[in-house]
Amino acid sequence: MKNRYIKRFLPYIFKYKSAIIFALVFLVVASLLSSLIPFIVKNAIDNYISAKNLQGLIKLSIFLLLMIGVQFISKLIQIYLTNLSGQKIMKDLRHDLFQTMESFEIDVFTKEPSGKIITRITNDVENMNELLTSGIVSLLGDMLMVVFSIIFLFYINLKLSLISLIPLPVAIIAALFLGNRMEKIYEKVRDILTRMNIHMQESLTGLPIIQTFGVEKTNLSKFSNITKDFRFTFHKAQMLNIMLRQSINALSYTSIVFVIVFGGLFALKGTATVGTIVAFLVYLNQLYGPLGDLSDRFSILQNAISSMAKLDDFLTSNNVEKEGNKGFKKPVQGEIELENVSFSYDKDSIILENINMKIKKGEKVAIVGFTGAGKSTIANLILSFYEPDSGSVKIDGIDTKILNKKELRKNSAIVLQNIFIFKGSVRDNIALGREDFTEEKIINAAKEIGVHDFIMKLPNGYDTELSTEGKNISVGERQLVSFARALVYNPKILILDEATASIDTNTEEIIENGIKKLMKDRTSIVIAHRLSTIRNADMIYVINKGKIVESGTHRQLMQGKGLYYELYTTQFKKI
Amino acid sequence: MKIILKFFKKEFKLYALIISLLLIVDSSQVIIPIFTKRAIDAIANSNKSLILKNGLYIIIISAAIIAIRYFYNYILRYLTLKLDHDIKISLFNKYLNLPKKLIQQLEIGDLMARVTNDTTAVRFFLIMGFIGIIDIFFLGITTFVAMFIMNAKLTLIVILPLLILIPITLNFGKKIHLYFRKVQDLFGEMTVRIREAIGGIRVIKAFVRENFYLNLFMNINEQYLRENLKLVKLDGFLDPTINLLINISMFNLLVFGGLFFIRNKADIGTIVAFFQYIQTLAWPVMAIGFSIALYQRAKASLNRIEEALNIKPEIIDTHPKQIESLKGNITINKLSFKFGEDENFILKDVSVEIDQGTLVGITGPPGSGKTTLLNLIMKIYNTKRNTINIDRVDVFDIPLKLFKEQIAYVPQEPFLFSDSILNNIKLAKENATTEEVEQAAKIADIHKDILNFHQSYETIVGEQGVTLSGGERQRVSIARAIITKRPIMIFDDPLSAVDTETERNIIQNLKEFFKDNKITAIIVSQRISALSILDKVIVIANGKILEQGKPDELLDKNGYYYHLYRKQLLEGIEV
Repeated sequence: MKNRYIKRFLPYIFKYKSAIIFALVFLVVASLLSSLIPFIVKNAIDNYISAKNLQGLIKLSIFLLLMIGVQFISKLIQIYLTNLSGQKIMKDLRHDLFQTMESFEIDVFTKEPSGKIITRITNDVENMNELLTSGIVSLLGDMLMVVFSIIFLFYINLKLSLISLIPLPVAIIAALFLGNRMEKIYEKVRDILTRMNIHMQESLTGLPIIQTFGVEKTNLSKFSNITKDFRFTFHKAQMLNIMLRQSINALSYTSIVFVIVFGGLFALKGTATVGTIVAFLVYLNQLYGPLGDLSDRFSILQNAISSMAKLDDFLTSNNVEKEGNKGFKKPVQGEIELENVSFSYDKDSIILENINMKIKKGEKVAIVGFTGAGKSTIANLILSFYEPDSGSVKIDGIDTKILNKKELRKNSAIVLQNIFIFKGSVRDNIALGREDFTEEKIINAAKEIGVHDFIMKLPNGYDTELSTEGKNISVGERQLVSFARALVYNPKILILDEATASIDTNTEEIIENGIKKLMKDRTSIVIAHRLSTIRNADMIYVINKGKIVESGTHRQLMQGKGLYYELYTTQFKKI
Repeated sequence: MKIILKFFKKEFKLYALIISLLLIVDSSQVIIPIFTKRAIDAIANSNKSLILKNGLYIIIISAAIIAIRYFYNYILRYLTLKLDHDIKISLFNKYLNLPKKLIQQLEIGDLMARVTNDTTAVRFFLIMGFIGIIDIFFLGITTFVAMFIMNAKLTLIVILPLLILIPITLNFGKKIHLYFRKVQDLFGEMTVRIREAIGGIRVIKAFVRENFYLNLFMNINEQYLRENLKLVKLDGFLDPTINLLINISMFNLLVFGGLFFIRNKADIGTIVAFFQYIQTLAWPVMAIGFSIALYQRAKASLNRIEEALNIKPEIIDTHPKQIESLKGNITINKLSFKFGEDENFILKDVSVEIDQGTLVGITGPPGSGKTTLLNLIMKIYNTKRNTINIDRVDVFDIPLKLFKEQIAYVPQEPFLFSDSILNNIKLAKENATTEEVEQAAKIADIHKDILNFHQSYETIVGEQGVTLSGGERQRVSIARAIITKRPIMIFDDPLSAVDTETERNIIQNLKEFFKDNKITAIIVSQRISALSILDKVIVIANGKILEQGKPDELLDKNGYYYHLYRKQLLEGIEV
């Protein structure tokens, strides 16, 4: 285990140090008593039962009963304290992981599959819990038991111990060797299961496509290949497991026979007693018992350590947004300036090249161009979701590199083409949990924007529950909800990124006045490929292949007969 | 349970073999302590050869036990995995044939869980539960009998604490299962919260709502902690309690066995043998609760599996007519539709004629019933007979299989498989030639874009490969449909993410392609630039047809279409 892991995760453990220390103390007590019990049984048999001393037997028995009780209670306390601290540590970890995730750069979410991030916060944390409960504590408990038992065995009868323990090292080696092979094959099984899940997830998501194109059979045969693979690989893995357990059993039987035969022979010579044999039989059971689980324990441990590495990477990721510490001068104006901005998502393809824009307070600016020309990237740069490769983006004259991102975003609002809907009511989706947004405020915003009637048409009005991703309302309705959201947040800067793409023209007309109100006294940027929406802009930038090729008002651009003119006329060309 | 019983019947011989092998192993296990007793008693008689002889017997028997255990495990696990595989295949096959309407209602995660988690529960029961049940009856009873014969009184005293284990494990199993499900549910909710935060991360960041969503997550996280603590508190109780009762059983043996020995009512060998019997007996006693818990879990899981297997689609062939292929003359006659008795009409009195080889557009505000109409034409919902006819045949008289093969569908939100672009396009036509694929791609205006990808048509789509933009995905999904050349094609706003010029090109291409191949096509669109070049346009609002006809004719009607046209088109000319 690397030093930095200890450094990273020790504080989580340290928070519950007293519980963990107590757990360890009780662990030692319970293990010691467990290995003491057979020793007392031996004494009872040899000194009292064989000697027919009933009073002595009863006295010792009371002592034994006491020990059994104390052992039970110690074990209970130890397990409870271990689990308690383990669960609380997990809760703390999940909190920090979620918070870290929220501070990741947007880029992370486009590159990493969401399943991977979810696994970090859920499964990897559970795995790490095993490090404490199964790893440190249980393994330590087993080891203590082994050490204590061997000490007692040696103390009781050195010669018999040496003979009867001959198979034990073999069993340990077998457990580790077969366990290692088993671990590999179980990893294969896990891989197959992952493949199976991916295949199902994809097929079920795309089921309408599979069905309309009639490829159910090919799809099923792909699935059947995976399940076949699972069937035979898993069988192999299970048989290896059986082999391991039965080998340990065989060696444990060998030890038992050694105890009975050699113990018996020694007893004939007077160097061992019946009590010795009984004690040895109980000890052997205690020693071999955990061995079958040894490889399980190790693989759990390995899992936990690999999860720990992943969590460490997650928590120390460089992909966290760097928060600038410079704030706005009040009142915020909402002036935007792009100076020689160039940007690419990866080195291969340049998205924006040398973009210059100056947007004054309250101005309405439109950005138009073909699909993939880089329009949305400009919105991402203004909201500081990305940093330009060169050049600078300034809001109220402050470079977004040093501007506090939260403050910037608190003063802006964006309406996107693909609206994400959170699980909850329409109201929840407008307010996003802002408690200061009263019912009245929300309804007023919706009325102002012109979506109130739409919302009232939904089954429960503002209380209509929307499922995640809003599958129960149409794309257009989702966009209307996000307009109301933008207004109620009262931003200085407003960005509409293809915000009306899925709203039909007539509905758009209804909310057009709303949008006008929304843009009033706000610096607004409208990104559109439907040009009718942007005719009234103070300035229109035409972007093509990452560069600004034209700019001006609608009238100027139409007169210029350039790309804008071409776009505009083809859009409305009539056959 | 039917599935399992049927399987038992089918594999009756192998299961009979397994059971007989288990019986042999169980009886051998009972014999070993008898030999132990004889060896120990031989000590008192100073009979060296008897000790050795009994040692040898134990070795032989234990070797046999181990060999047989390996063997029956092999068969049992082989059989179980065979059944597991069969269930997985039949479930997935069922899913692949579920009607679209049901897929939308069912959760994909839940469907997947039936294939993975529920089959695991069944597997567990069929292996561990199966062995457990036989061991309870056979190993438990024979051990008891063997002990009883050796010393009846002592047996009762020793066994008493172990009997207490039965109700305890029974209760434990039930309660733990209950708590476990709660914990699992909360785990699921936690996952939902994280997934949601990832999906909505742009919104969360843009509106600076990180803390709110962190708090929402923490609410569930806290609940998860509380429920988990309940679970581990209970779970942590079981092992120490089992251990305690075994210890008390040993304590009884020591005290009363000693007492009996002192009073000459038992010999020392019996006491030693009883120590071994207690260890043997612990398993079948525990297995009672354990097997019942496994049984209950498996039963619940089997119910879920059978429930999924028994889903009956609403629409089935009743009296299918013998039809070779469809031409594509669609007639809709006074179609009214609502989802339930108490619901509002989604469509009212809709009558439409669509001739073979024509390209018809549908437009209208969101929620007006466009998609429902498409779904009705595709026979996804049930409706009155003889309202929708294709080639003068009621759609419900057209065999489902044929019907599916004759219609190609392109949804608004395109779905691509994480496979190469090539395989995505020729999904429904595996033997398509390169020319056919490229032709389709050219019609969808995506060919050039594909050539620009790193590996052109071999480029992998999705998480492992290139991420396509919304417009690119839509165009690939169009290419996939047109390569099939099916007589009827339905497009649900398939170009919403493509800019106007590209859209117009594609529709122009499609129009020629449909003409040449006599394909009937319906396309939903919001853009006048696209609608104006179609053969016919249908305007739907509030479930009713407002107007329909050739685009030029509609202009003269001064209605919705004209309005739309003016809005999108004439504005430009005014300048």
